[in-house]
Amino acid sequence: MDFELPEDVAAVRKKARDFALREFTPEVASMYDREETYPDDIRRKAFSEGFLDMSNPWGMLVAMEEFCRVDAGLGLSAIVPAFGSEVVMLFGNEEQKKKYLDPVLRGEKISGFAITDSGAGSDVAGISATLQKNGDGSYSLNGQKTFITNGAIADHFYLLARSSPAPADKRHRGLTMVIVESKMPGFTAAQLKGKLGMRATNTAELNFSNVRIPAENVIGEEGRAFYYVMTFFNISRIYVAAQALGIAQGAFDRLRAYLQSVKGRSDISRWESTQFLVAEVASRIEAARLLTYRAASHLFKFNPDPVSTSIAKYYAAETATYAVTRILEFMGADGITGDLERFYRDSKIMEIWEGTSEVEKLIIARMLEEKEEGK
Amino acid sequence: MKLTEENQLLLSAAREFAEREVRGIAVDIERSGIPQPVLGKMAEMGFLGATAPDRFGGASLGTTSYLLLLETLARYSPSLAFYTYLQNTLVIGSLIHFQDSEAAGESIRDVSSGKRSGTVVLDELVSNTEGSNVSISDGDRAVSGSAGFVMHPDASFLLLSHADAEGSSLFQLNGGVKQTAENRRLGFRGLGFGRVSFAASKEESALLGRKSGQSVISLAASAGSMAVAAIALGIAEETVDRAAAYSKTRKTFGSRLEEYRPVAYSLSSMMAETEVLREYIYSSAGGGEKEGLIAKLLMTDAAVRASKLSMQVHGGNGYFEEYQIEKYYRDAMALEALTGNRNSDLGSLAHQMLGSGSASI
Ligand SMILES: Cc1cc2nc3c(=O)[nH]c(=O)nc-3n(C[C@H](O)[C@H](O)[C@H](O)COP(=O)(O)OP(=O)(O)OC[C@H]3O[C@@H](n4cnc5c(N)ncnc54)[C@H](O)[C@@H]3O)c2cc1C
Repeated sequence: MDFELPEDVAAVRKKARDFALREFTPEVASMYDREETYPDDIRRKAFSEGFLDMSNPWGMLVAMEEFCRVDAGLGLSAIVPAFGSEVVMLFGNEEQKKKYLDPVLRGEKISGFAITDSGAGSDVAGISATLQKNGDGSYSLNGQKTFITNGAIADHFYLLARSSPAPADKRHRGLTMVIVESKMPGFTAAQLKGKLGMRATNTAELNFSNVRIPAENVIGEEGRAFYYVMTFFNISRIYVAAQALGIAQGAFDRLRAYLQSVKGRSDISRWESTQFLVAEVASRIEAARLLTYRAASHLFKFNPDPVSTSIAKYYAAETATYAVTRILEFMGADGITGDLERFYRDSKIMEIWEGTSEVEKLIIARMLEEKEEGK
Repeated sequence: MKLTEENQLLLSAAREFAEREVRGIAVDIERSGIPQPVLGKMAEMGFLGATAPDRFGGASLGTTSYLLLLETLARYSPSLAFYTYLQNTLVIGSLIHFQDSEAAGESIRDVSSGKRSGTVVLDELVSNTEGSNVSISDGDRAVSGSAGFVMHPDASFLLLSHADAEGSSLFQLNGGVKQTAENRRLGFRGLGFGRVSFAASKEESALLGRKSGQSVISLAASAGSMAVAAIALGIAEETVDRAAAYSKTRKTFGSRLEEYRPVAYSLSSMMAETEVLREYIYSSAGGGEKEGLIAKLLMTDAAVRASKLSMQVHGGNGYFEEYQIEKYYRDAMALEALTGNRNSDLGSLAHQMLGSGSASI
């Protein structure tokens, strides 16, 4: 048990912090938040500085944390262009990796991961997009997706659709993942505006009308994609935990800075109630960090533990909203006129995306039970 | 809780007004402000001078009716409820202390009729540290200075208090006020929120009165704690109701959300908490500082949690403007920050209970 990050990871952390402080200034962060546009220049800069490095997962994790500590919307935007990549890395074939993954890792293309539709989010098997096999072996994709990150800017999506009806008690069967290019005929995307937070990220609704998907764009085996999606979430949730951790830490940084800044004018920083607030928030953040790193450590040693992962995601997300809320309540008007108001809006998504807190709790309880039963 | 006939009448008038005039434009209000015609109708209904005595053209509603009005408006548009609170509780509530002054009386009349709107410098109420910076040049009573927290900065006049050794004076500035920066707006986006500087000449400013002790603005605010609680109540009720309705239609895994115990329990617990607080608010409507603090502290906290729960039940949909939950979520948090200061409220409540020697370390 070693609680120090290895030197190379610590170096990435420092570099990420410096980058974020330099690039995500409060003015820039406010601007993208206000305009609700994707910061493509920041994506490019982050890429050229090497932060999108899937061969160094610890580096990506601490970079995510440090980025979101300064600004979550910009921070995620800097790393999210490769969203969904793990699914091709794990289940895709060599041609797919070459054609779709490599350009993303070279910073030339953007990917997205499209599961949710207007009728089903938590209930992944309840999605309604369909794939129908054509005579020539290709498929026709029909239906819609919503809330898709990178939706209006991605070049291609790893997308889940139903390829065959499933028996009522085995709803997770018959789901297939395909790679859909945004320039394929019949594909349309429309940005969804009016998000509460994370407004620098692009979110869109996708529609498919007889989009022809060549057979070679099926990832893995037809009908087995529910398993791929769950495997993906077991990875991505750790990065969400890191986002949440960054937000919580960033809120805490701002509290500390505030307490310093008011010292000459007020003794509020010496109040015991203030010290308790500091201690309570700090303790939760520390716990969330340990849980996140523990789950990451299992995963990055190729021994993922879904219980640890879901505990980390659930707890870190809750810590983000807890920290921001407590701190804002304390800072009051002094808080809502600064960065913290954006942190308040950004933090809430952590409890919703890539598995709501309720879904995480169901996974934790069910997986623990399975472990007990030795399944 | 028993409503009087006056309360009943007010409640149905407020509901009818909100249904007809507000429901359809609640999202627009957030984007482009409260339309003038709506304010005109509010004035006609007596809502802008709800608490003002009738000799000033006010509706002289009792406290309960006023709270019912705010609760109802907050359900539809917290921005509009806040505007109403600002005009009644803070502006008229400050002016009324000096109602014998002709200028104050005239201002109350104008606010009630909708002819003019007022606002106040909030700094002394809301900030942990900042006082506004005001200087008065005595000879000619010109007022200059700046303030960091002004909601509705484009009001026709601005009230500010100026403390000196003997007490505090209330000034009304009818000109010479300029917004120097826009503040970020977590909530109540239907109103402006900015930093202002002012340099009002003798002709543009009026000294409405002076008294010893606390400023009348802070007296008005603390007398208005119940009003804040009523807005929070409206937000909590509305968000819980919307989540309950959503839970009846949204299905996951083949079942309606309401069928899942965690969803149903959290909604019913939140409903229970809100109902108990509602009872408290109306049964203590005529109470003193302590009751006001209790209601405000507990109800604003409950509103934050209710709006959060509602967003959670709405899932991804809740995160987008269209469902309006995100608006209540922001407003709930902004409400406490813009109507006072939690740290000083907690201290005041402790003093009420334990005496002035308490809560000092
Ligand atoms: C900004 C944003 C970006 C997103 N990006 C993507 C993306 O890139 N790709 C993608 O595929 N999706 C994306 N999503 C969708 C997101 O993952 C879903 O919103 C999320 O999974 C929840 O699904 P839902 O919105 O359908 O809520 P629902 O599943 O309808 O859930 C509503 C509520 O009911 C609760 N609930 C549901 N079932 C149960 C149960 N059995 N027991 C107890 N409670 C239950 C949920 O926890 C939630 O609180 C994004 C969403 C947002 C808002």
